Amino acid sequence: MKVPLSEAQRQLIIKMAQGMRLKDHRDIEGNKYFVIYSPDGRGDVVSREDVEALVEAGLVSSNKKFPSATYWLTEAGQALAQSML
Amino acid sequence: MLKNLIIPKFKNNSKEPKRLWLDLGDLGDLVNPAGPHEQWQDHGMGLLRTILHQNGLMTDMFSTRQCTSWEEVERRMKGYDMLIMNVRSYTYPIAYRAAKIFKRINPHGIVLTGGMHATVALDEMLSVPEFDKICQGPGENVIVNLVANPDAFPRVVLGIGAKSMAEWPMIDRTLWPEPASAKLKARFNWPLEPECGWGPPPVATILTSRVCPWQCAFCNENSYIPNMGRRPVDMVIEELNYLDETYGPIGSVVIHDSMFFQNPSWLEEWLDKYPKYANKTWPYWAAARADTVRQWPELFEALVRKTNWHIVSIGFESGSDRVLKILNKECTEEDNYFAIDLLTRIGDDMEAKGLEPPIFWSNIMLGIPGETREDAFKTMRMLKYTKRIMPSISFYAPYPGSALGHQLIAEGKSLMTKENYHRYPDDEKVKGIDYNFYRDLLSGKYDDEINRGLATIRQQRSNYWDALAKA
Repeated sequence: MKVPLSEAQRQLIIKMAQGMRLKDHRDIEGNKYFVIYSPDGRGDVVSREDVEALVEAGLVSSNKKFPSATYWLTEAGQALAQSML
Repeated sequence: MLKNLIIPKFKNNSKEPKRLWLDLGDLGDLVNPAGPHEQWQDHGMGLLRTILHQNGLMTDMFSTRQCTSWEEVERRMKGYDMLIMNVRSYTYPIAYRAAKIFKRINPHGIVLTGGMHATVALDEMLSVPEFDKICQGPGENVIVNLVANPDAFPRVVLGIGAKSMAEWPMIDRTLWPEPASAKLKARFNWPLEPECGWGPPPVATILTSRVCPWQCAFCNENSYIPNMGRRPVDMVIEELNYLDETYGPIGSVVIHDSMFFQNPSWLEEWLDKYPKYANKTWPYWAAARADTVRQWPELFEALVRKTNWHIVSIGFESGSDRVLKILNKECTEEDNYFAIDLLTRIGDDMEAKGLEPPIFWSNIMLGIPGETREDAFKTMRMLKYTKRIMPSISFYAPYPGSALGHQLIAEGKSLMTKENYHRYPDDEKVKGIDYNFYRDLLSGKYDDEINRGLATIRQQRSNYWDALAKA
């Protein structure tokens, strides 16, 4: 089944395929946010809705670790990334 | 019905101190959670509050997870004489902040703490003057006296546990915090729990045993919590039936035991009675070890097939004997592959009969000190080889309280500190580990290398099973 992706979601898939890593974070003030990290450690906050949509579509999965999980491309996500690169 | 289900009702005496049990977790987790696990309830708190209330020591309770700001936490804590908290490592910063606020707004109040963090990181707790009493170890046989008369105890209290879980009352689950938004209430199923991907909702979480008796170098929980008798099978089933009839219907069960697949005599009784006497043979999640699966394969297979053990959690940790030895896992590569092959065979057979096949939930560790690239490839190969698996992969973390953690901290190799280890702010937890390699590994850059060895393993395993079948 083809899933319609937004441009932001497509970019997120491409960045993960290029070796950037997606993590979720939370802080003691109750903030929860997702960050995509480049290999040099710089991070950009990405939309929680976009990540949840990719997880829902089966393109991204995580190690389901609490309280901070690391995300990666599933096989379907990797295949999609290959077609986009 | 069990006698221990009946909870005596005591009127709150106005002369009694006002006691607050604060359930700990990140702000907002019971308002707008980001994932399922943060919504799980605290069995320790449920058990200890049940014991207190049965003994006439009433407590109010709210959860930091029900609040969206620290101002709200402060407002709700005002006016109490006693604050009680069950502190885990990942909730330690919240407990610390809550204690500071409590003391500021209730200067004559007393703060009682206990829990796993108090047990494994006493020094850290001792350095916080707001923690008036710190109970180490199990608290079920000391909490009544401690709460009733805290002045009679020293600052550090050695907990007293039950000899058997048969002595525990059934948890009154209405003492657990409720979801705090209409949206979450609609799908939470309180006082049962929401689904987390392991089985249909509502979920009943339960404990049948306490403490894993093995001595893995990354865990060592049995160094801190004494062994105790397992909860009798009849009590477990009666509790599930009670929950089903009172709050259900239950959709699935999560058996939270660190190690469910131990004590064959208990497991045989479970095998006999759960399908017969439970209102329904609900599918469940429970943990095993690869070596015990290999030791008792018939029992394992019977449990999977007849008791609906649908999600089999096994901490394979690594696909390399070298690393398994470093971790003192006492399992081998062959044990892991044996368990994988067995569950695959059972799953294929069930699928052929139109049944839903069982699945592994497996904890996997990478970035273990001493692990070579080839070790890591072997682990990834093992994962790829496994037909039905939900992998939970993480980088090794040198926690205080574990043997390997102690060693790495002493050698100055841990990158985790008291300030950050609760929050997992980064992947990098040990000096000298090439984390860029692991990130590349997880992003698929070495898939060709991993896949090259995979065909050989598939052939070897096929030959192994052929040989076994012929034998």
